[in-house]
Amino acid sequence: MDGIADMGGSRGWGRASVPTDDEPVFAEPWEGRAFALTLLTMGRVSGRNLDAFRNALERLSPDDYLEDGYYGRWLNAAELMLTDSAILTPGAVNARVRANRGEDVDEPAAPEQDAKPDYQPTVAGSLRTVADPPRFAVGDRVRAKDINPEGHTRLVGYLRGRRGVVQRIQPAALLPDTNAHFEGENPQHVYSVGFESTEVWGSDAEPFQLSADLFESYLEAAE
Amino acid sequence: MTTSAPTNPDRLPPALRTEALEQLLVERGLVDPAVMDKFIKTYEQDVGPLNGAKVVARAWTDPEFKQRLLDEGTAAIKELGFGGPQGEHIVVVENTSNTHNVVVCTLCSCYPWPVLACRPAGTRIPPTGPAWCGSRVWCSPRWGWSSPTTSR
Repeated sequence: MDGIADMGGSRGWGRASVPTDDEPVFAEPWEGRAFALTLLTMGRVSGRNLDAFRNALERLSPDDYLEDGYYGRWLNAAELMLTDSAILTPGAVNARVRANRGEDVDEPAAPEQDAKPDYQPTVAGSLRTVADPPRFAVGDRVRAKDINPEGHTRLVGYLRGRRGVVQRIQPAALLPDTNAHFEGENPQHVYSVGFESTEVWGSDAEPFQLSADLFESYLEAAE
Repeated sequence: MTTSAPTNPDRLPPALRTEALEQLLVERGLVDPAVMDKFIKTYEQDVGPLNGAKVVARAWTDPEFKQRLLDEGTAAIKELGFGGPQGEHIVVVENTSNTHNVVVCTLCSCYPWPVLACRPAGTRIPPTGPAWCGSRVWCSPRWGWSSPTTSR
């Protein structure tokens, strides 16, 4: 889906800071706790998967995506996956915070029945094999399809409709577009496609070549 | 398609919500705090950019390893014992005097954990999301770096 995460090429986000040599992995203890909780949530606790986590990130409200920092965003996606799977009742986390503060709140009961998806990975990880040969070869001219899917996709908005050249055939992998929604792994060939910056950003773009890894169903042959 | 709830004006801090979520899951036996501690310790102590630095240093001193690294990155990195989540398939590219590679994730912010650790803060500062990596680098890769002749 074309959610808030698809911000490639957008401006106005300010300057980046330069990493320091002694930068801690987690700036504050809660960031490490949120990191670990999210890792445990995405598979074991919610019964979901890495692609569903990415889809949860892009379904966050703008405030939930932007206001709590990087690991706060993870926390918010973990909470969304847990309510999606009816492990947690919506509002339970905030109610617990208020109760911990000593406020007089009714904490909602946990759902009686969970709603974990009917999902089991065929094997661990994302790499898979595909029996059919790759449709495209290195050097082929291809175009990223101009589509606007409602569900999860790894085809970023700024590449849609753009023409490039296949640079490398990568190992096949399960298709996040369906795996995120527990609609099957649908493994596909994956291609590194090179795009000229001017094809993507217009004739005034600074000259460089952009490579993107794209699934076979994202591509069509170009002249 | 469900989305998360809109912001409450008295938004609760993520530190307190993390604590609350951990309590809720631990109480029901869904999460073991000791497992969480282990994850945190692993990523604080064992996984980090020094792993990637060792790979690069080996490539500087061992031309055959360097070739294996460029040909089959994942397998060559595994020779040094590094692999695991977010490192399932790693392609290694070489910077030269006229080619400078910038590798970014444009959507969710994935990163090669086994060799570079979790993302450094500069690439994930709020409110930037996937940050300059996800937004600015794709259209202006020289932004913030020295200017190579060719960037990819």
